[in-house]
Amino acid sequence: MARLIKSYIATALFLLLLLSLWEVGVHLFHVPFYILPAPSRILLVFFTSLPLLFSHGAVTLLEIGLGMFLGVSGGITLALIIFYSPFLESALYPFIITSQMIPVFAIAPLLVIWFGYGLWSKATVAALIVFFPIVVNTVDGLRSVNSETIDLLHSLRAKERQIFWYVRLPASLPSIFSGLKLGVTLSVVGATIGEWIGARKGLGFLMIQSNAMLRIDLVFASILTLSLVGLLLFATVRIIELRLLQWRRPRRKPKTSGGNH
Amino acid sequence: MNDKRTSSATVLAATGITKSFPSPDKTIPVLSQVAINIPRGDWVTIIGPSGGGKTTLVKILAGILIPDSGKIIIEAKGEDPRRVIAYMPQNDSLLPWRTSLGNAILTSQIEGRSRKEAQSEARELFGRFGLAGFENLYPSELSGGMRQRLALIRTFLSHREVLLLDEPLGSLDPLTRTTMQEWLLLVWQELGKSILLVTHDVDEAIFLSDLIYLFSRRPAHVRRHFNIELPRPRARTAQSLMELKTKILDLIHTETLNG
Repeated sequence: MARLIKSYIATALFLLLLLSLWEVGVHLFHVPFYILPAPSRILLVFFTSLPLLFSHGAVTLLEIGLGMFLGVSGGITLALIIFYSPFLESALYPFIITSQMIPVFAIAPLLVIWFGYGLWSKATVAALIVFFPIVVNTVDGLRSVNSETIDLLHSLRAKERQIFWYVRLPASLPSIFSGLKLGVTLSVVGATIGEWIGARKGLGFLMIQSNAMLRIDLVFASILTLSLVGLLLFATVRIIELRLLQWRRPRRKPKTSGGNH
Repeated sequence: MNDKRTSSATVLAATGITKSFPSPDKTIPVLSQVAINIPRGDWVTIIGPSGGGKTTLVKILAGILIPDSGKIIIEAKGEDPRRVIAYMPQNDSLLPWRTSLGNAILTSQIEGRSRKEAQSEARELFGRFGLAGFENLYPSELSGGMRQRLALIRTFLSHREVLLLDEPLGSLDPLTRTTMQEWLLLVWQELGKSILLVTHDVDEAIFLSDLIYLFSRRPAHVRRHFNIELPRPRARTAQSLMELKTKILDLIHTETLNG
């Protein structure tokens, strides 16, 4: 515990040092605020523009949520298809891998044309980025199941449906959560890119607009808000993970049997 | 032969079991014409050299592997013959995401029995196996010996008539092991199961069994079988047991030397 606090103190101190250097540097070299605003100014703008940031942030959050839902449910479904059907695996896997060679940036304008300027084009960009780590990690997780355990359930005449719920799914949850943690971080990127291409609301849209008006302080405030959204989402996934995967953190050290002497 | 033995009918038997596994350049024969017979309510033990195919036979009996040839006979007393056998694998195969109690009631859940009933039944066995108070811990929080006892509880709670135990006490230290043997005997006598035990501990075999099959090296077949008609509880150092032990060990050694 003490070590944990110590490591947080180290992080906070380093951050404080960087911010002070930035603050002092900006004042010392008279950097104009429309090139690089001082941290104090960014913070001031952040707090005075809270309602604005909040209303744009809500839109972005909704896009991320929808994108996560589409990406995760699609990714897990695809992983199950790949796991249970070797034929569909050999048919689909090459396409899934090569799909990752196409930068999402490249097709984002197309998505705006197909799905419009609203929620759906951004959610689709986020979903496309999210689904890959979900598919790969879920398939890995499903394959990590111990064959002896499956043997045991077969000997008990368990049905495949029972084997899935009792063994395969819980065994792959740790990998699915690795994918989710990657995915949730990437979904923020996805939604922002989508908003850059074309949007009427959202933090990405606010950034582009402020940038054009040389309101660099508002650009930074938007970035700050975006990272807070990302952190919040990551923390949410992590909390769910800790709750569902309690068994991975033993509360009690096992004793060795009979080793008294 | 005493009265109990003459009256007991076969519950599980295997004849002419042959099995080989493919390897890159040739097939490796593992079992050759194995025949064993488990009388209802008896304790039958297989001993033999390690890597000799004992586990393969047990997996065939458990329905996990299919033999190349041979026949398995299950004498079900009315119930579904696929629900006669419970198998405890060599590693405990506990589910790490389930608490001890959750692991114990796994079979009941698979068969759709009442969860409440299964839990109260399990709690009772936890007490008898010295695991009371550990019901809500995860397997990773238990010691090796406790994990094996938990796997035994799971096997006993399967409500199957025949229990196939593949080295169930293998990872226990000698002291815990002898205590567990006595516990197992008590539970077995009380619940009236038939047991097929795999071990390479000769002392364990002669202390527990009604019938011992001595397996040869690979490809395994039954070299000899021994009926032990001593009443229980047995004194581990009884003269007749020691003589039997010497006999079995001699047989194992002659095979090793002649190879």
